[in-house]
Amino acid sequence: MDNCCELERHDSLNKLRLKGVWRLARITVLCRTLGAQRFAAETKLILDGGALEEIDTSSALVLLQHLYDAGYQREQIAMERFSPAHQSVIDLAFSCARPGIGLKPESAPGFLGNLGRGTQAFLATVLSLLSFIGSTTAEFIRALMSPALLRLKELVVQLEVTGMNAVPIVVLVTFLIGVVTAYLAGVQMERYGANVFVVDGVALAMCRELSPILVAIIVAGRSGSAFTAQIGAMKLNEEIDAMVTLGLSPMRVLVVPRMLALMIAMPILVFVGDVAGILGGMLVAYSHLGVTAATFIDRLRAVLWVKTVMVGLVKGPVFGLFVATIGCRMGLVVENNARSVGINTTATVVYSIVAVILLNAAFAVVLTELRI
Amino acid sequence: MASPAVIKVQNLETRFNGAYVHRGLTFSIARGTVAAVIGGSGCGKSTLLREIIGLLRPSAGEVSLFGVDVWRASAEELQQLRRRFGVLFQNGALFSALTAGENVALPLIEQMKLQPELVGELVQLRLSLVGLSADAAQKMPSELSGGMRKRVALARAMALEPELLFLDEPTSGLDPITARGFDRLVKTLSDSLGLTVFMVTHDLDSIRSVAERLIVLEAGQILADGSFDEVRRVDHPWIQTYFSSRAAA
Repeated sequence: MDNCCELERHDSLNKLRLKGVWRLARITVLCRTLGAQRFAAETKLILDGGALEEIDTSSALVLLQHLYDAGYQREQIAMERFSPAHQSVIDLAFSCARPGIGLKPESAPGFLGNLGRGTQAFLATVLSLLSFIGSTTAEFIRALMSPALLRLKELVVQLEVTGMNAVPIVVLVTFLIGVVTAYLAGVQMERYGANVFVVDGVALAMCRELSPILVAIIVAGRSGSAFTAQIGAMKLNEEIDAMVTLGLSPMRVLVVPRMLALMIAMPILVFVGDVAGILGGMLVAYSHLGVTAATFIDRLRAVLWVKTVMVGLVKGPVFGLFVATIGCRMGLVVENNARSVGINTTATVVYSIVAVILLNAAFAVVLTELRI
Repeated sequence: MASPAVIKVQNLETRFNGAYVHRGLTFSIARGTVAAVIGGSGCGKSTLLREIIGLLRPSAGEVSLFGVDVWRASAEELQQLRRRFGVLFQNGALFSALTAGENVALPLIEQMKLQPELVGELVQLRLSLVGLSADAAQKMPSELSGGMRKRVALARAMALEPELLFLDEPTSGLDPITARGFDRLVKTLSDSLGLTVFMVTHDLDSIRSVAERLIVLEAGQILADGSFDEVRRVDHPWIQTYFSSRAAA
């Protein structure tokens, strides 16, 4: 059954009889059989297709490659008794045969090459980021000067999606972090009989640091990534180009509403987070530390100044602005392939979280220096 | 001699949310035929194609390929079946993360487990069959023009030397010269390799030059079925308008 060809050797010419089915499915068998033939490339070779049942281009190519490898030239090969259909397949394959080459570009730039390309890419990114910030700011100011330009409907939709719909997850996360903070702080304070100070710990930590940063991370994961994916998919579908040609500014239609939405939604979410976190702390204080709700609230009134809450709330819009900027820009720079959407979405989340943590550190330093 | 039917569709019905797309389509396509489905936009041509290749379940009726009922076949049978046909999607549907060459190589590597060297040669053969130069293999799909992308997609559809080829609007978006080249290519392949081709198209020139059989869909039913000349003589407003649209253009 491996008998797909047979070589007859004569003095002046050799004859290769092809038999049976020559198809891609049997290509390994064909290769093996052809490899075992002892060709003598000095003479002419006649291919005989009288007993051939089927042949496809792949098999024909393999045949030709083996003959070439054996040292035959195209002119030495003659064909006889092939059916017209088989003949045309073979002609097709023979006319297209080229040496196989690699499927990937074989370029491995060295260290310097990579460094150069990396630097170039970095500078290009910085430039395009600056231009993005510039045009967004311009559009933003234009929108503030004449609020009629503001896309109110889009803004409301974004507020619902990024703000309202984020409330359950924000409540859950901050409540649990409030519980954990109270629990950890309470264990320490109980040793000194200073149970009531758990209120100070939970309230200050939640309002000033934890709630803003947790909310910003949640929003980066929920909304920042969604911005990139949405805008990126629109870019792929040439919707952004269509928008520009229709005289709409993508900045105005897509970016400004999203930025505003996050800047409005963030402080509200931070406040929701404050309340949920403090409630979490209250639950632990009551059940484990013997601090009643009334005592808790009394103490809260004494230690939690409006200023502290305000510091947390002010961080909200700033974080929101950064998350929205990163998310929208990453969406707009998506390249013309599906993979790029994925890469940029990941980058949005990573950059946003890093930016939020850096900003938070900056806030801490500045506010401490200013003694706020 | 009647050759065995490669595609057989019986009483196929499709409903989307209660609205009929197809009401009882029945036809069969013999081995070695180049058949084209034409019809107005939105008449369910692409839906029909998706139902035949097993991507979308019809509401009622039967579809069989090579005598195997697509919608009753076991996963194993379906897998076997899929090796025997290739599909060219409307926009190419090349994998954007892979180079053109890797796109064509993918079925060869995944399904056939061939040696990398042999795969490289076969990929080159496919690319040159569809008229692409060797360096196209290393380009990413996003770097290729629309016509080149279609050619690469055709090369991928033919990677496993299928007996049956489905083409969804193969010439749409191509310039006339490239489109005619595409037609010639399909014709050569079907003549020499005995390919059965089932295509959905709008392109009158391409129908005239390659299609041996025309199926006209209209309002969910088969309006006409036959050779180019037979169909052209059918006295129906849509068909008459369709065939005279060239003269006006």
